[in-house]
Amino acid sequence: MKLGLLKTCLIATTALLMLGTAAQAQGVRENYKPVTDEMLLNPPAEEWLMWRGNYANQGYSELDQINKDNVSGLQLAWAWPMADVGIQETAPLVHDGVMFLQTNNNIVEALDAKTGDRIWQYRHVLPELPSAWGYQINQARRQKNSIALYGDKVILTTVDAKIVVLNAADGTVAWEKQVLDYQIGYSYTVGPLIVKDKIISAISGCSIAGTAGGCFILAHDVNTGEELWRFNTIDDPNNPAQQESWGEVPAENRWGGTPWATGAYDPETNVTFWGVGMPGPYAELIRGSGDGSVLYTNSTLALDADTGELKWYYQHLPRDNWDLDSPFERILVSQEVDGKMANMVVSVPGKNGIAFGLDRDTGKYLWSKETVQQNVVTSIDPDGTVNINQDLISTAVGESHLICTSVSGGKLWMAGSYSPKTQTFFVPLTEACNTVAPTQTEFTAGNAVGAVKFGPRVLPEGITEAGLVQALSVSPTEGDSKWQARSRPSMTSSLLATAGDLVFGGDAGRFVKAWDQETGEVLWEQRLNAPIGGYPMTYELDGEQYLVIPTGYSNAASSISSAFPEIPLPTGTGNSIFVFKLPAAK
Amino acid sequence: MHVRSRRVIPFAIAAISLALSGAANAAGFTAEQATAGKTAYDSNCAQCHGLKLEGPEAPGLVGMDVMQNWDSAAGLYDFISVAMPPSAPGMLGEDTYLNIVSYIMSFNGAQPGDTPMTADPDLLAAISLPAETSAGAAAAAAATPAAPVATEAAAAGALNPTPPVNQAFTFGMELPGGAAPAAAAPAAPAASGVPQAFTFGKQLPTVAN
Repeated sequence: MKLGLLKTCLIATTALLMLGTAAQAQGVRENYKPVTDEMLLNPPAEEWLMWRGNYANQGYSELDQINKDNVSGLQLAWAWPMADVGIQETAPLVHDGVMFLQTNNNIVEALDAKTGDRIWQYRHVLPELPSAWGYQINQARRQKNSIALYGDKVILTTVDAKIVVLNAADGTVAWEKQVLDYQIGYSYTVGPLIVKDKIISAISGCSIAGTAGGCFILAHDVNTGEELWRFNTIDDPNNPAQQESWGEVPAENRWGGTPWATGAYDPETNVTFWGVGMPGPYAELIRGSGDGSVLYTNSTLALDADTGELKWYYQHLPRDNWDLDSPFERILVSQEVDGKMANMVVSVPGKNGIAFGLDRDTGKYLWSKETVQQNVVTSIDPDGTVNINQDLISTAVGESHLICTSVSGGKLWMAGSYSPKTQTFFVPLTEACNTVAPTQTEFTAGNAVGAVKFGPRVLPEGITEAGLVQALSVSPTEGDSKWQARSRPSMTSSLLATAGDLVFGGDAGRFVKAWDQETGEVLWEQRLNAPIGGYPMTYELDGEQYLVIPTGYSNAASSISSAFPEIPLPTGTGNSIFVFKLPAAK
Repeated sequence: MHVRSRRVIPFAIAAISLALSGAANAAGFTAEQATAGKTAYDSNCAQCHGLKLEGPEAPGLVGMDVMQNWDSAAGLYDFISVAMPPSAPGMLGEDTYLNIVSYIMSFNGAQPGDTPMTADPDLLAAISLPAETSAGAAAAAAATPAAPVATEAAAAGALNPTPPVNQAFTFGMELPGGAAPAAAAPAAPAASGVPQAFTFGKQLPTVAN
């Protein structure tokens, strides 16, 4: 697909700069309009104020200037490199003509959203960790959607377990708070949710040896940083069933339960919904929990946003033995059926790719639907009880089983997108399996407690294409496959559905594509510099709609590259964003 | 499902016995393989895994927990010979992968011997990463007490690199397939004062043939 000339765009841009230069000092955005509670509740369609666009985590845009009739004419408006090498899982935000770009290593940049010119940059000073802490160093560099917008501030969660509040106008630090101790392994990898006057966040690093006994969702006052509440996902003294589910294992020998995707929020009930990851050690043989289901790992939690009180929980994968984490984006869906509103939590919550619909107010299981090949869940009862294949549980050190999906998914952090217009949920997935065998290891500071040896990721038998885009029709009674689009290279980015009847996303082969929401036909594709990544998004400025496509390196891009050896991965990271728009009207 | 037998050498006992004997020639690779492995590693792996195997763009490859996690030369070889490097997965050639495994072991303290590493699955499965690397490090320390140990503890910054950490609930328990509880306390080269897994030292169920 050729990129056309940008002549008309350049003229328009130059004119804007000439008007703006006199008023703007370098490095400062004058007259930045604060983000209000009302804006967060009803985000303007032209902007992208939070990770997945709205509190419901839908990842959907109401903009339709770019639509299925004209998408094949998209042109490159500008591109911009991420500030550093390393793993990128970036979610660009846009407000008041400013694009906020958070990249690896807790660097935040504010760009002019029309030209891509940088306004300011913030670089967090990262602590030095001992080089022996290899797992913590590698994982702590994975910054996923680390920022939120509120008022005249940019709120950043950091590698060294801090909340840092920046002034949106110039990137200077307003205040910062050490939330938990990074020296034992705690580290933020996901960004916060801003609800009224609260910063709600979830910590990572809960698989690192020093953090035994606690993994937390927390709330802090957005003005003072005072901690308001915290919820421990692996040690709930108020729930005897939760304690019993770990068997004899006391809290000080429990790890995991990491909530590593930013939660959703329902303003009508004032409840926030979070996904929780796998237990540590991964295998019950080493963990010592017997046949216990190990709550609240691999569950959806509904918490009161004011108090952190648990309203309900549902466990998508009990008794995990394979690191089949289930923390991923929880999406709030409301559909009117027979004059009544059905409120659901819809997700593909876990690596095994099974989609779930839950009642939002009670957590009651409504439906499930498999997508990629998986062999761990044998059935799900009508009451929502998940039955696992016990033949795949290792009963001896070194006993190996082939598990589908792999530890890299199925589904991974790359988020799906729900279109309320078509009531369809679009999910990026990878077909993959790997062997899993427990190891009996001595834990050391800064390193992980998985205690499992994984084999290389391989395709399931009979599958030759690693990538899958699954379109699911969603209703209160079922999720059904509407269409599937397969590709040889694995899917590496999140998806963006729009009111223009399109779904955008891309793969390890460096292709960004637009699929027709109804049929799955590819209506546009463009090959870029690196695997497509992060969270594609869209915004409108001065009457023109822009499409933002992040590219670059992530583990998702490399984990199953042996399944498509004829498609070479770049060896540099190429971390960038590419911004497209339609040619200006003549 | 494929299962393999394993011969597990409690690494504490191996370290003590090999240090006393003054010999460390059962590592399972040759000096030539380790040398060739360094060149291959630096060209193909270091850009993500670090010239000192420290990462950070990809997981670090140094440390006893890494050795324990991959467990045997087979564990490492089976993975990298299929999946690494991501830009050319499985394409480096059998000898190169063997050399790289040899270099990783050598970097972690294992001493070379006379017997070359080959791609024989049983041979690879019999080479214990934790045992060979800790035995080799102990032997090197015994032979030249002034020589720096092949751990990163000395390279740590201001932070104490080995603060106490909790262990799995089964630490010290005998589980099927695992080592019998060590007669002595866990080996000194391992993190000192670090709480261990609940099952550490315990005999875990062993893999049946």
